[in-house]
Amino acid sequence: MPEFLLSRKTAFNLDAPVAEQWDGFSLAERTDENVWWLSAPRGGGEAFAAAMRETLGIEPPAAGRFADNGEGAVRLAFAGDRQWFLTGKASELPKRLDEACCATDQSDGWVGLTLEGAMAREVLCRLCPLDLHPDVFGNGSAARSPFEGMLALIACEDASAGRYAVHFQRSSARSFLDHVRHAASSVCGAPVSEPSH
Amino acid sequence: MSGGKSAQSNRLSSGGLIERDITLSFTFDGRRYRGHQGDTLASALLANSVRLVGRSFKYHRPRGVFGAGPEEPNALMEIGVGARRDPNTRATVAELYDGLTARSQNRFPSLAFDLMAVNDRFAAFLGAGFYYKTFMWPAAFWEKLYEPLIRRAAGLGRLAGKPDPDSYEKAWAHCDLLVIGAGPAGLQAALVAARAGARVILADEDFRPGGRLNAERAEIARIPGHEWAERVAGDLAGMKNVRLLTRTTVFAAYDGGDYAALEKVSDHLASPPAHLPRQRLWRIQAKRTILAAGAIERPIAFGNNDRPGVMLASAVRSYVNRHAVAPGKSAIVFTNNDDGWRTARDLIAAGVDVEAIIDPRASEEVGIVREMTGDTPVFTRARVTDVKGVRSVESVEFLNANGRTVRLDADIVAVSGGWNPLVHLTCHRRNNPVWNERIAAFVPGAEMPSGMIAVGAANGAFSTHGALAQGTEAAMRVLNDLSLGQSQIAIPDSEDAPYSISPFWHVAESKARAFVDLQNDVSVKDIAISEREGFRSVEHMKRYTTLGMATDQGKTSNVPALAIMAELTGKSIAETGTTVFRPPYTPVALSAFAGRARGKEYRPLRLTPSHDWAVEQGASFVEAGLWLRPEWFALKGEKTWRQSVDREALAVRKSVGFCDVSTLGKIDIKGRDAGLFLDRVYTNMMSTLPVGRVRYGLMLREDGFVMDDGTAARLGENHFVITTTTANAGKVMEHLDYCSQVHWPELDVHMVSVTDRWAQFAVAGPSSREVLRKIVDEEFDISNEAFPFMACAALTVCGGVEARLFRISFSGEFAYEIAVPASYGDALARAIAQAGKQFSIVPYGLEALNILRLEKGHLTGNELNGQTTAGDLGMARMISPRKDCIGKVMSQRPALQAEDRMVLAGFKAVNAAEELTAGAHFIGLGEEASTGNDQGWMTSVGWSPTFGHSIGIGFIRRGPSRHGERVRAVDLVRGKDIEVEICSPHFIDPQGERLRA
Repeated sequence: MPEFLLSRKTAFNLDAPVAEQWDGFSLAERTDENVWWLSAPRGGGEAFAAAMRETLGIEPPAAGRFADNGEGAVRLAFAGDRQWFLTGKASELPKRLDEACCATDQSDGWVGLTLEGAMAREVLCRLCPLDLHPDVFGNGSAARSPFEGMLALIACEDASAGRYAVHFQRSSARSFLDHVRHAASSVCGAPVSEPSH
Repeated sequence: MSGGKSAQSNRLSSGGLIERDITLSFTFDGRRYRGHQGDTLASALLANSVRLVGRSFKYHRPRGVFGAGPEEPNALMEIGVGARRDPNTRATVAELYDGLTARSQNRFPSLAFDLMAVNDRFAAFLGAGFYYKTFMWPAAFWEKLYEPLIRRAAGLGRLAGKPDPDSYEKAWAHCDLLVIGAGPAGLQAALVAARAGARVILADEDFRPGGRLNAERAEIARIPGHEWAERVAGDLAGMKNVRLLTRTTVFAAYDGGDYAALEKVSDHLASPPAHLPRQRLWRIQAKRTILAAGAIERPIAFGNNDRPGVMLASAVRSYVNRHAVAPGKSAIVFTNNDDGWRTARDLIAAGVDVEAIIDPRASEEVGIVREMTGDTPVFTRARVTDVKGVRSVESVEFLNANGRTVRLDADIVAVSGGWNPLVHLTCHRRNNPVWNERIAAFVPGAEMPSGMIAVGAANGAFSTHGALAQGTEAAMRVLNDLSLGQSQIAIPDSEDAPYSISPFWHVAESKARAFVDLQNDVSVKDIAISEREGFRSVEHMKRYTTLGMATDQGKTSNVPALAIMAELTGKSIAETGTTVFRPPYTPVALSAFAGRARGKEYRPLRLTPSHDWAVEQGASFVEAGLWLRPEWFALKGEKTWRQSVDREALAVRKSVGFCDVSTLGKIDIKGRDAGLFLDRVYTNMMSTLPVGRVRYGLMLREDGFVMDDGTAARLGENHFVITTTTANAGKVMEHLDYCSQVHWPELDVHMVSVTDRWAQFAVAGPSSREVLRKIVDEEFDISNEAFPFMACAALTVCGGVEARLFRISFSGEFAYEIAVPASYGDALARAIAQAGKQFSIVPYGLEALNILRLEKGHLTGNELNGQTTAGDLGMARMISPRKDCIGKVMSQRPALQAEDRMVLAGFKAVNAAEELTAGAHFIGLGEEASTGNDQGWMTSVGWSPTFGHSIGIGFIRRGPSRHGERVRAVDLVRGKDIEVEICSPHFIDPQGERLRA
């Protein structure tokens, strides 16, 4: 029996995920989610695509898009030339997929929030320069973007519900959350829930 | 806010677009007044018969409200109290709210009795160029005497002098079409485009859409223009594809359809909700832009034309029609165009006596407006020469057609010299406006900002019909360009009167001073002086006379001034040209540009995984780049930071300490060619590094200077993890990406930053292994034999938690660095603290870390400053002769190999009690402290608790060969001159025995 046992903390150094509510907007920390950075070798795109299809059932998305296996449990977002972010329940990668790319577990490096509500787009327009209009950034869109001096990966899960998944780096999580809260209050008024910390 | 009527003697009994049922209370210079919802501060002051509202910049002449919009040069006030006091606010665009507190500025002791008005008596000596000619000598007096005196005498409002308590924010918006200005042209354009489904943003600086329609009696579609505007604005506000931004000024046009706009979100609210920002800075990205900003009326310069009561004719109409305020009891209209006649008509309709219309044109040049003013006396071929009265207009003198001077009593002079289209935004990309003879005004030039179309008055179309037609046509063009279909909206009926003007800029016969720029007290005579003294270019004239500067940026003065200059030089106005228009169009508070980026939110903070634990330990923090790092951990009883730092550093040397080093850049490098890739970016060989080993590495820039240093650990055949300095993490990542994508795309190498992924702690000191034995799982042997200096391994800790262990040391002590996934970082810090208790473990901060590395002679950004080579750092041998690498060839340039280069060395004071300072320069004993004698400089210093004296490292010529020699460390900034001995930079353990223990 080891002398010391380590327990995990969330990116906000809490024991429970952050979840807060405004009138027309909510934010919730995404839990039980792994983040993988995948990079296919030059000339290995096809092999990677085949491995991805056959192991996780996902067709690698084009630039500016994400794709999932239809169940939504695992999602693959374009992140650059031959690079993708894989998010979802995937603590380990299938061997075949691991062999077809260079995979790095980034689960503790990136944090996800779900931003949702009728006012979500209005909140986000105070934080990031992307045009999030459904005609431009509709369901299945994904992009890396500056976000109040930080870097974020934004994905539109449901434009009609105003639901976006936003991932960002762990070390700046509190600044990130602070900016989202401020923008939400500017758009929606005071929060209707207690702050998570 | 309160209900009921109020005593406002100049308020008309009916009409206007104010809400008479809502009375608002406000103060001006301590006196309480009342106005109504819908008033501006200026209209409310005029309603209360307040004429004197300010003093002029230079001569402190009494001034009254002159305009009714952003062009206002006179009615500048301090609004708000305490930290919320804003100087130089234009009362004409300040929306009235209950409790508003305004104060006049630039006067002493009071507005009515201003001692500095004595300047006006000496005006003959204070003309253009006065300062440049007068305060020539003695030179030393300028900074200490003249400038402070002049600044005290001149000037505008006072800053609050306290931190701004309000919040500001930024936002982005995207659209197919940005319409700037919600007058008839803008509203019509927005409606046409929006109905066709285009994404439209309509921005207007006013709180009520409608532009001039709110100030005129014109009809559109057989209803009052303001009603039409209200309906259209209402329609637009209800459309999902439209963002209607009132109180929003688009103040800048940038590249590629980018615009900046300032929205005054809560300036007009008596008690803004806490969550609302005061102002919001919009960055608008528009595919197309329709500029419908309208036009600004310009004055005519005549004697004493700055007296309170002299106003722009269009402003008088605004106050009468929009605010139901008669600015006076009897008026004289002085106009060179038909539009001025409309003011006479509207004043008469409001019951104000119009004593005369004075028009320099011939009778036959006056258009149909002639019929509007009934039997009002009209004097054509006439001109106003002088205004009598000081604090208010009392009478007016003019020359009639026969050249005879006539005097009439009046308390308002409504003056119109024509209209200037607001071309400002069309010029921000250096498009030059062009002179249009027909309307005697500059209109947008041909090289408009990409995607911008000017319409309506901004494009020289001054009739309502012209505005509506151009707005419609431009919107159709945009729809067509963007393939957005068509909209079936007819142009509604409206007036289409021709615009008749005969240019007339100033009254030459005036003997009294005739002001062109009211805000800067620049007269016609000043322009003549400028011309006489050779400052004839409009840009030179502007600087010489100060015309067109300050808050109004010459909105009413620029065109008359350059026309007068053209007259003086015999050139045409077109040849004379305008000054350059630059953003912002109207003043923007610096706070708005900052948005949330100020104070603690100046930039995002990055927190280490053990941050909360460090807070619990009472750590003091310091910003290191974006990171917040513990600087030291003070214990109870420690009174100075040095006590804490000395204790921490000594504990590491004697027992054990630990430090969160997660901030170091960590980059995973993978792929078949990872080793080869690292050989090319590091000076030394990395491909030969065995798995499980770490090597120190140096990276050069292309120019041969050192870029960064760090370690490369080989965790697998095709897997390295490299570290960078905290400051250079981003730069190194960019560099590696560039090398991979551009230089050697053929290499199979993949890299990703894992800085945030791992919580990493240095555990340093003779007892560090004992501490880690309690943390690392038993099956892993970390003995010296199994895990020697510069070993690394992926292993598990605390019962199976994934980890990485490195036997490396920045402190120069026997040490390890251990990394776990960041979510375990807080727990690992607590576990290490607990595990180390029996060894008296201490957490140590950045200051102790700096002392420890200094004792060892390790480098930081002070030494890796971008100007030093590997040789300068004493690491010339790290450039492998067996391979090439980035920067190698350039590092071999003769000058970089010269024998007398400044090379790293250690320094200690000859008198051990003296404290060295970083930045001191090395000068030979007995030599003068001059640039010529400079031998190098001290980069880092610190008090070493191990040695009991101050130590330093730095660069000095031929450093390694001069150990034992004495020089002086001269710090002229701090007044220090200390004799120091040159020594090895490795003060402690030069052979590395501690590291390998």
